[in-house]
Amino acid sequence: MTRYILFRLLGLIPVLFVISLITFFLMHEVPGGPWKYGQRPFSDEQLAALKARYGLDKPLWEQYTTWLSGVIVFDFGKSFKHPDEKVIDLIARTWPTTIHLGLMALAVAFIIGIPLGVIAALNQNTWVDYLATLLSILGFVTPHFVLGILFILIFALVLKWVPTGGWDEPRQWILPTLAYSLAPMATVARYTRSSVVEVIRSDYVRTARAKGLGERVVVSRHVMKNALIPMITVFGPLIPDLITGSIFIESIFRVPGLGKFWVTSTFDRDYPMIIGLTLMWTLLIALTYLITDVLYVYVDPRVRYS
Amino acid sequence: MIAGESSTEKQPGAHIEPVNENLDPVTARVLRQQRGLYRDAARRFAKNKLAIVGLILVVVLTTLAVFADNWFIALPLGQEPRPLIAKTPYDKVFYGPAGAFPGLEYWMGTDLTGRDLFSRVVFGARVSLTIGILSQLIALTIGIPLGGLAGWRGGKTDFWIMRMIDVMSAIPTLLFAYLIMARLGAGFWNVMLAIGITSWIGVARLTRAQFLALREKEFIEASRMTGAGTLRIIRMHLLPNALAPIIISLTLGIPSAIFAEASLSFLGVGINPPMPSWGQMIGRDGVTNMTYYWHLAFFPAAMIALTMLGFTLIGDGLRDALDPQMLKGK
Repeated sequence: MTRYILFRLLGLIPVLFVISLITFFLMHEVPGGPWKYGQRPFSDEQLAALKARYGLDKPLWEQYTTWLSGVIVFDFGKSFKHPDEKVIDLIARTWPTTIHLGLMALAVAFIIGIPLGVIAALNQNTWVDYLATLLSILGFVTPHFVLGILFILIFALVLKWVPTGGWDEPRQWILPTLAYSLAPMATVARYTRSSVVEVIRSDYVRTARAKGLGERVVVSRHVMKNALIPMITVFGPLIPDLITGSIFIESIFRVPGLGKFWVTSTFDRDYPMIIGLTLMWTLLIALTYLITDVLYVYVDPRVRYS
Repeated sequence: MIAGESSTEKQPGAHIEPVNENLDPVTARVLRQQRGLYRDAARRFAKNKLAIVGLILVVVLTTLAVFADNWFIALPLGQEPRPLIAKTPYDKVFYGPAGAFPGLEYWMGTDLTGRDLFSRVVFGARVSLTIGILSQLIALTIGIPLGGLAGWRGGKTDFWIMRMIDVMSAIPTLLFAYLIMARLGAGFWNVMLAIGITSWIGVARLTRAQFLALREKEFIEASRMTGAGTLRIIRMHLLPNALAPIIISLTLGIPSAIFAEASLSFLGVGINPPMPSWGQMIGRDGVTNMTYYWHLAFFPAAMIALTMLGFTLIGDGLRDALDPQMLKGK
């Protein structure tokens, strides 16, 4: 197992390297540069001085190797837009908020999504199933920003139950968490439903029924236990969606997290920030997949990796 | 076995004459079986209420998109298109009531420059659907050959194509598309391209898996023994057999592409104004004026949700209808 994990981690290095290459040259291909669209335009000399200071006057491959030699010791350079902070510190400062929001959304997603999927599966092809399916499809097809806007319209502006945005008190957490959680909830519910449907048809459930166990015992002891094992794999596809979602949710609800930096850093041509974020996110996604795969071995003894 | 006899008379692996295509009883039987599969699937699809709801939604949206104006007549005749379903061209400014609320005259109200919102929403359907469908076609034209090549050739080709897919699938798609858009600049064709080149991975994986599984099957071996060339085997046997999962992935890819377009336009790197796009309408005026002019965000938002709903329901229905696993289950 340790060998497998090590192998996967080593395999990550070339992937991250290629992605850093693609991102690096792609972002330098984007027309314009940093300091072009500031409030006060710089003079040519000032621009040249700034570029020299950040090494932007050197050839691209040299800039890349300089950057890469920094990355090896976890130094992603300094943000152009926030020059007094290192990229890694900026990420460390804002990421907890994003993670906090993401975890709350995930919790809500599982707490509502699993029962929804189970109820749908136990009442397969009845109106209960259709209603639950429709609900989860609705969550699946409504983009975060659409949902966020609809929620603000309904709950903040018409009903005036909660504030429209901000992140200072727990009351302000409610709307972004709900808007954020619907998409993962839909995914969780869909997975749960198909997983439970499969288990219900299996022989051991028929045996459990045949030996006279009550419906509640069959569901809780035989169905749920086996149906929830595959749910671990849900984390894999959920995490990238959550990351993308944070961009929209945080800008709509004015949450001071990491998500908004993606758009602003590209807009500002803040090169160290763009590539730092891309790599962090790629790493996060890759690690999620790895952890999912490893956990799977522990909960399902039938799975083996070599 | 007419085909078998005719090709053994020649050398094995020799070219089969086109006359044989009509005579070949094996091929004829395969064709009939395929029609059976798809007719069965159509019957299962028609029984699925949710899928029919999705179909109706998509038909209505397609009608809106196609008949928003009479461009399909106007283009060949060289005339200016005139609105049919939409009340005005999407960029028509009235200098009348700006920010009017929905009412009898303006069904969805007007936007802040006084353009009829209903007309813009209708034209937005054309933008969304065109990008959704064409970008998936781009993804297919990249994904099928790459996946097919990997699955058919195996070995080193497979290894390198799979590593490429690994890298591509590790980057968050929307962020990659965003960077590409920043490079290409906002615009209709660029959005289509950016979404197309970031969404071929699923199709490539599917095609590869199908080809890998089918490659070793007996009927492929039989076909090779009768002297069919690689291209013929791929065209006659591999692609038709891999078609069902590809169709499903295509249908489910369309809502994701529409979602991606809306997201990019929402972030300001998608469709350029004055061309309307639902995401752009929400992102530009919708969010900032939400507290008062609620209709600016509400209608485009509802349209995005409805469109994605329609395509997802159809995709789910197709999957249930085409998946042979379901045959055993029900």
